[in-house]
Amino acid sequence: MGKRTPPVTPVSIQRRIVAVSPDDGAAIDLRQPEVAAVLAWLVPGLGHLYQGRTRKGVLFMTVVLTTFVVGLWLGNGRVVYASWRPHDTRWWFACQAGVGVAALPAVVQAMAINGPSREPFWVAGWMTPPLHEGQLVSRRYAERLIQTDPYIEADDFWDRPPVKQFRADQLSMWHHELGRFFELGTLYTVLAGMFNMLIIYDAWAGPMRVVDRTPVSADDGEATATPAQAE
Amino acid sequence: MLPALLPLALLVEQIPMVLFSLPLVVAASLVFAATHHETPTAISRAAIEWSAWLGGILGVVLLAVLILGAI
Repeated sequence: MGKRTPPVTPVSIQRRIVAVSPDDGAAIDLRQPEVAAVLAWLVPGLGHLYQGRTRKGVLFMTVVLTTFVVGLWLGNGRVVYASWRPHDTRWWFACQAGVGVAALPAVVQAMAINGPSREPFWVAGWMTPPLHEGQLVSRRYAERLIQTDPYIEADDFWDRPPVKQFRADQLSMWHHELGRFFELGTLYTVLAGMFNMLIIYDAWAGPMRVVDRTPVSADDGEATATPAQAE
Repeated sequence: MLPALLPLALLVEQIPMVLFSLPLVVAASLVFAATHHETPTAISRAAIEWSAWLGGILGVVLLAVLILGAI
């Protein structure tokens, strides 16, 4: 009788997912890629810091958050807001939300002003959707707008106790006030979110494949053959 | 706009619109390079290449717009 091989006993194998660096072929420990991707979405660069890829993490954090903050500043804090109303569907926010936590106040502000309180959570108004004609708001928020916004006057509200009703179009006021900077701020913040989508992919799967564009001479024979030709 | 930042805001308004694309070109180049490479040297080299490509393409588009506008 032949010698039987002993049965393989199960061993504890630690799950490690690595990517290969396209530059030097070194292994990149992605740790738990799903966790890294979520962290990368929450705060740009945080997924890379979690994986120990510190330089890239700091680079991504600096580039994305700077682009987002500059865009927000150019747009006077008004270009990032969440609105899905029929006359003001803010599709850009889907891209802006790519920066994660930094864009989340817009969701809170939108839910608050459309909720029972009829005023934004942070009354200062950053990332609050613009008021549209006929919108009901709290008296406190209306009075604050009258005091702080040079484009809004007391006549812009109807008194509808216990609330007030807006009778103008605040989005038009913003465009008039900011001019080209409304679009510019939108562009910066949208691109910041889109950059972070690439960064999330990098945290999840490692560097994207680099296409080798090194020219191959015709004398190399087999090296020049495409897979189809080789068959 | 915050009062403390008002001088900066007034300065920004004097900047030609086309120059606002330059920081975006730099940011895009850095992100594209760093998502395709891992070592700092390779990232720097790729970022410069991407900047040249993006800047060149935008420059050609701008030139075409200027020529079409002048016709």
